[in-house]
Amino acid sequence: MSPTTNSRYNIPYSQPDNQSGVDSIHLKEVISATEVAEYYAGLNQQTAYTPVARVVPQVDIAKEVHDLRDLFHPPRPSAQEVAKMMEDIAQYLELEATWIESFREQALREQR
Amino acid sequence: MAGFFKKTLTLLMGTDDFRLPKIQFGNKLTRRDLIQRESEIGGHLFGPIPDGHHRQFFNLDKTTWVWYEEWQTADGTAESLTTRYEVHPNGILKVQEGAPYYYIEGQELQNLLTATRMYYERVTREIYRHDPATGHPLPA
Repeated sequence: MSPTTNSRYNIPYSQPDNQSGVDSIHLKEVISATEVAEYYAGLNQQTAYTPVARVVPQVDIAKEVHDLRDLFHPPRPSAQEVAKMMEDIAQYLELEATWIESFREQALREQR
Repeated sequence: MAGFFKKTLTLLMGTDDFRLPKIQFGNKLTRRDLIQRESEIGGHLFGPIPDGHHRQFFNLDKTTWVWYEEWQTADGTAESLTTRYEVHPNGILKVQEGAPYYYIEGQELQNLLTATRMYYERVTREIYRHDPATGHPLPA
């Protein structure tokens, strides 16, 4: 392309605006082309294949399966755990009943 | 209503030598009256009661919880079932007439625990007007 005209439409470019004779439009084209070149160069560098050690996660398949099984079929508590739970609940129920009994007694006392 | 409550107490206490007084405001309440009021709340803790059924659930004393259910069969015969839950140091023994006794566990134990908690909460608040968490009287 001529620095002074558009080849297709024959439209004159702006004339040099200073004594150096540098056409601003032409200058832009030159810079743009340079930038594009640099951009692709950089891109190539970034995407260039560089082999790295693949990090393979250490998955314990047996554990994964076990965890999944637990999720859907929780393990039954041990006999010892069941016994402890039954004792705790028995104590709790007795405590509740004691409170209720004390409220009853208080209600009966207050109406006398 | 008083009939089956009387029957339940007869079954549990081994006597029918009592008369159940009507609960009225102004009357002096007895311990039995209070338990009967509690049992009305307790009967509704397990969800809707089927038509023709009457259910009561109540705390009888420090170590006994009672489930009583009464209904009529298709031919009009009255049926009832009393289940007693006895609190022992090592667990809750389920006692039903004609059935083997056993210590409840698993879901059945959880259900009973939930029911007794709700019973305590509601009875304490609605009958005795106390805060179930602190045991302090509720503001009037």
